[in-house]
Amino acid sequence: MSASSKTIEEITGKRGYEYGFVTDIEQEWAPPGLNEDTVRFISAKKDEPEWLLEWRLEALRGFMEMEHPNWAHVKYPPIDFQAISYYAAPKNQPKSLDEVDPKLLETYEKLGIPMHEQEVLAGVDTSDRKPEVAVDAVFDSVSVGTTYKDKLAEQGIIFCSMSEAVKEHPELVKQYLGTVVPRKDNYFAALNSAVFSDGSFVFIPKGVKCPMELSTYFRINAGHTGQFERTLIIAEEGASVSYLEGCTAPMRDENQLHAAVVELVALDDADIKYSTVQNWYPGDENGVGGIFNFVTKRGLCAGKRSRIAWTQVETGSAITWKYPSCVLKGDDSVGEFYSVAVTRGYQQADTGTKMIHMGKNTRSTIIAKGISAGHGEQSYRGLVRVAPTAKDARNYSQCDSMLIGDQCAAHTFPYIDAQHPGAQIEHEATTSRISEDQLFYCKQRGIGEEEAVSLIVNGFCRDVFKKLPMEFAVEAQKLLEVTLEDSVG
Amino acid sequence: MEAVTELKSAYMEIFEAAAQAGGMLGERRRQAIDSFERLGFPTRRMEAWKHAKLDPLTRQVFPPAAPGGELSPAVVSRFADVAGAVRLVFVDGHFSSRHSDLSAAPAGVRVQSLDAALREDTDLVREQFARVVDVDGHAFAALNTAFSADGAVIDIADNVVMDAPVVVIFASSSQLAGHAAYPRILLRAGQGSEVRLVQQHLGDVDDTHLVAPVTELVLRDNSGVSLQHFQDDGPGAWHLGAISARVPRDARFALHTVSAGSRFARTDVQVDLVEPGADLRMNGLYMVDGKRYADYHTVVRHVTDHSQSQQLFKGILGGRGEAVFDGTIHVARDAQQTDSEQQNSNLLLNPMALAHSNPRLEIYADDVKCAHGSTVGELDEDAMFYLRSRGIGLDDAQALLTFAFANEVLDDMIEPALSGQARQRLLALLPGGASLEALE
Repeated sequence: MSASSKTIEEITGKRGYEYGFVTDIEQEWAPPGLNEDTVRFISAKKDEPEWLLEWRLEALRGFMEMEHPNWAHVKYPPIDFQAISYYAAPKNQPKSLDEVDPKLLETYEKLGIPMHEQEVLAGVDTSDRKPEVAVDAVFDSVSVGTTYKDKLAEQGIIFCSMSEAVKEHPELVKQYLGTVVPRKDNYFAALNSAVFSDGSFVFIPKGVKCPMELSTYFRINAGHTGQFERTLIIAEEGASVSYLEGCTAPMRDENQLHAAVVELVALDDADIKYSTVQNWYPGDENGVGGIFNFVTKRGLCAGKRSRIAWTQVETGSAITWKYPSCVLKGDDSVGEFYSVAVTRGYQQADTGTKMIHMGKNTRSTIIAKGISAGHGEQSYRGLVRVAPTAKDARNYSQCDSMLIGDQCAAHTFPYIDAQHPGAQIEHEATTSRISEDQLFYCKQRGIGEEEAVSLIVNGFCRDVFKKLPMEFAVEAQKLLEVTLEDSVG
Repeated sequence: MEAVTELKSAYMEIFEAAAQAGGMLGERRRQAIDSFERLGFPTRRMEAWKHAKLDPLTRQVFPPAAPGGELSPAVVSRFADVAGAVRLVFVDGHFSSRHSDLSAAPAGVRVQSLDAALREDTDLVREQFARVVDVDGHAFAALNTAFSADGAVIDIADNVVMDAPVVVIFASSSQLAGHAAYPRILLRAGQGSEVRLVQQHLGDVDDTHLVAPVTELVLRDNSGVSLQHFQDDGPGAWHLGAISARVPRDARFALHTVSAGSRFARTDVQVDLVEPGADLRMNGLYMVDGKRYADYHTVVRHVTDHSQSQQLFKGILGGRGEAVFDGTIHVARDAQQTDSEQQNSNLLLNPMALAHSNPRLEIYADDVKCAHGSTVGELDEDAMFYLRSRGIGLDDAQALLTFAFANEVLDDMIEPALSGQARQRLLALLPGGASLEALE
């Protein structure tokens, strides 16, 4: 039997989803259903000002008038928006990290997320440990704790949950919320704008380089609910920040909805690097259960010479529908998108990016690597638009797909709309599989088949992995190995 | 919404009044008009038509043009002149025996007008008419199928290798203003046969009119068909065409297409590679300036294993012109060992020109080689510098490089009569074209 056909046979083997446990904790809920009362309930729970409630209600009215989009290359049963509970939170809301329910800390411990800043702050030698990472942990609908807040505050950096930001820094939230992703931008963004619960808020003041990685860890725990977080990151003139995002959810037979909105704003010379390792529960081997990951992420390079880089490793979710985008408004601004997406089992992904060139000399790079195995179905969908004002805009896109097995699929749908003769746009896409020659070469040098496949797949993804922060790159590589274990021999 | 409904009924009324519902094709034509009635004119809300501004087509009704139109001498002079070729000329969609010459048809080749074929009840028309093109999914193919009064029917017997091409010319007379022409070609290439087909659209009508041609090609095993398609309709033309082919075992289909004329031109090309060894080569050049619009939508379906396709489309956009290239390559689950390539390059000559490039890959098989590439840009700076450093002026250098860019596609047009005309149209688009022409 040839190496790859063996691989194909093994692809349907079960894979362990190691984050599939449920934390048994007392929670409070919003009654299922989507109407103005739900929105008022959430807003009241969060003690929000009147303007924000009004903002949410307007978004809900917009959502009610919109139709469910059907252009993506994914199939799923209709979502009953009235059956979902839009708010779930642990009953005991902590006031500080010390008061966080030990069960929750345990949960994050299990997930490998460091929530103990005390030790580090107390001067314990940390030289042999992981570098410092400030974490905002979001558990279902609320943020349960943010580490290193005080240390960051010394430099004027605000890193807190969205609910806290609404209370503590309403002027900033009001100024920026919805400026990059308008309330009625699209169906799921409108839904999010109406019912968003928590998420992270980051503000880096002028000239400050954020001294550590900021990170948010999203965890869906409760059943019959969804997560609708909203993240807003603002980097003022000359500021820079690297932000990481991770996510997991328990194994359940139901499909749970995750509809987030992320907005980034980079002013003159600012630099935002946003990395995601998305590992929501993908459903079981028959495609039952899993998260519907319908996310709107967009960054605005508002200032001159600003830069926004999206890096994503998408291994989870039953369905991913996600296009982290850059609006390159400032002259000389740079947008980057690096993505590795893996679909296996019955996972479906329709993901890619949009690069909207408006300023002069704007540059964008798109590197997308798709790996499809089992019955996985994957599409790259991207848009590169060059406005008539975008003199000397440059874009380079490369989308490569790797197919493992003969039941999977990979599609590429790039859209290029160019309107300036000075623009240089290049797009390339290839589709391939692991060749017998590559495997043979590795094997005759004593590398086992599993290792060889892992080597080749890692090599395929290298361009993207090297863009991830060190910590994440290692995690991503491991994740990829675990994800494709059993499946590729 | 109401306006659209009303328009649809108008076409239905014309259909019913014309009593075209009878005869051998009666049922097929009836189904087609029903399809159109169901589809209506495409709107910009449809993904495949989102750049197409078809408002002028929905504002008025275009009844089929009557026979008897007189061609202007300028149009006649542009006929593709190929020695020894069988030539069929259609004026406003109606066969013109005056301009045609069927005498050169060699043994084993049957060339007739659709009208004649219908009267003789030929099996080719009975078996294949409206069987290759997607009448249910394409509103203009449906209109054509319902209304095409005439067209070219070409039947090549097994193992006939034709030396000279079959030239089919669809020309427009001034009578076509405010009316519609529905040119039609149906060709069958028998087993092991080889044929070159020229499809030329010509016109100089300024007023709005509709030209909606359909070309259906049926290839048998191991046959070779080369279609040279040249769209140069008049400035008032709304040209909405469809070309469909089925390519079986070891058959080869080559399409060379140039879109140079019309206010609005769109051609939908659909090729199904249905058996192992099927081979497709397709290249195209589109040129727009002023406020003109050109659009190619290609769908190549690799249905079975061991088939290959190659596509190269180039666009040159000046003025406020707009162009779309939308190419789908679909590789079915069983189509292992597919080898498929697609390249689209666009050259923008003006900041107000707008190019859309949407190459799409849909792949359901794992052992395949598929690649597409797409570029938009301006001329290579280094090449420009090289030419200018040798004393060649800006306009001339630009013209020279643009010409070279387009020539890659034109070189593949085997008939000099066609590639020569395409080159002239290209030179007219370029600021330094006149001096380049002098060079030739």
